[in-house]
Amino acid sequence: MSIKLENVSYTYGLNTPFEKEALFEINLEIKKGEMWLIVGHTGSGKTTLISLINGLLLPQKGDVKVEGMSTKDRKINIKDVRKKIGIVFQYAESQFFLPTVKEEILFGPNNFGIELTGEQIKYYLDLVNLPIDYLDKNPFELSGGEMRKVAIISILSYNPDYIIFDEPTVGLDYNTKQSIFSLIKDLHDLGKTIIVSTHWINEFSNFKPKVLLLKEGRELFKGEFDDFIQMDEQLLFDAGIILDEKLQLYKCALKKGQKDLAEKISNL
Amino acid sequence: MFFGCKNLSFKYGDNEVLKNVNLEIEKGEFIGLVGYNGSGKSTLLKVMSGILQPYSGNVYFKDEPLDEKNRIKIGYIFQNPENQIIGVTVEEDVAFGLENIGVPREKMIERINRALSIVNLKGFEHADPNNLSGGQKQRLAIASILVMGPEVILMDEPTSMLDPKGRNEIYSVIKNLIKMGETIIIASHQPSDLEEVDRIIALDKGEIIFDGLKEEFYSKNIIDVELPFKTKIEKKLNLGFEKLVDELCQ
Repeated sequence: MSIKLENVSYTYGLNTPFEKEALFEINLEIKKGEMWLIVGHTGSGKTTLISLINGLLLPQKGDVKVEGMSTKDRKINIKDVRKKIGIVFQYAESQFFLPTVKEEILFGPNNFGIELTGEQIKYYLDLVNLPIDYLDKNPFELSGGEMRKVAIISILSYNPDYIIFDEPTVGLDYNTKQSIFSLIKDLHDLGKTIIVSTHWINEFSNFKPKVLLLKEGRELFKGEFDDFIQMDEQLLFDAGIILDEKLQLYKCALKKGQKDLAEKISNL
Repeated sequence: MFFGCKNLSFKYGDNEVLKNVNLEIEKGEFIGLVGYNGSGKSTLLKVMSGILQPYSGNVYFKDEPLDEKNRIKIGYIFQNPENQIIGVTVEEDVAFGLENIGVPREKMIERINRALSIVNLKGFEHADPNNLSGGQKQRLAIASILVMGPEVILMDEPTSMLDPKGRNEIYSVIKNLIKMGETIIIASHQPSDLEEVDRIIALDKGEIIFDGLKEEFYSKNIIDVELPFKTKIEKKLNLGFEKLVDELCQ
């Protein structure tokens, strides 16, 4: 069970004067239950990669397979792919368009022909720490953090196996950020596959995710987090990655073989 | 009073988002404004810049209530630079405000050059703003404000939409502004944004709950905020930061 990208390339405006290559010959296998960070400078291809995974874009070369289903196979129903993958876009709350929180939450499941029981709805509200009486509220009257949580439930509610977060913590205050991190941890513990596209690798260091580093649409690194941060610093910088004080110190502790201390630092 | 407000309140409908806020700010201060999402930070900065009118109370600049005449002295930088970029070229974008107040052409060129050099965008005069990176766009937005000669600059989470490189670009602009003795208030959740700040103002539910030195703010757990990494090492691991760096990274 996995998502597989095989030699995937994508160019925007292909065969027009505005051609812009976004991804070139990417190979990636994301196995069920794993956690991946997709990182790289702005414009490195992160969002294109995410859009290819759930079939919003179709690869021009190569193949994207979600649990064996090729997204460009005309014989499959693309809904079957999308049902397995939830994307929480950056500023997901900007997509709200229904008058109550309840309707926002039920929109996705209804589309996939899934009926949610009251108990299931309560389960999701509990997961993100929102009270049950929020269901009747107007989503536009919530605070920024609460809106982000409702947006996340509206994805969780159709129970996708793979959940993609695109810059999930941007613009959030400390407490809301912490609740997003603990939600991601809970989802991962529940067996969900988590894919996070972010610039803020320091925030995810304690998860010890696998990392795909993109530079100008090409794979620059693919592998374990600890190997990733020990890459040449200039090479990382040129790809838009800056190790902050925390990761610098974590790296030093790893190099000195002080694993326990490194662990403590990464959990800060 | 150089800049500040007295008994300031603001309402969105029945919802009172600022309650009796009193602030005094001296020329040349660099102040951090912190608080949870929805605590009133953005509203306070908008009222203090004259974008929003107070429900009651007043904003003061050099002892005069803020009005149509003197509000030009207060510059406001949005969280999202896209909100304030309108020109076809970088130069035209910076020129927009000056054209509106009828500055003669030669003076205009001089002021634009100065603003662009403070934000390190010299050489980008004829670039299309759409082709700039996030950090460059935010620097352009700052230049467009600086060119108007503000005496107070209000920044609303100016780095929250930027990548690490973009953030560092804004930090070097902020350092330039501090050297020039500018008066700045920056709203932010990021400890790195507040590195050069001396004074912190914390808002909670529209009220000021702390106004004092940064060190005191971080030591007192006034509200839950991301602590600077150095403070975390000292508080949570009970280790000296410099000593640890020496031990591990030498």
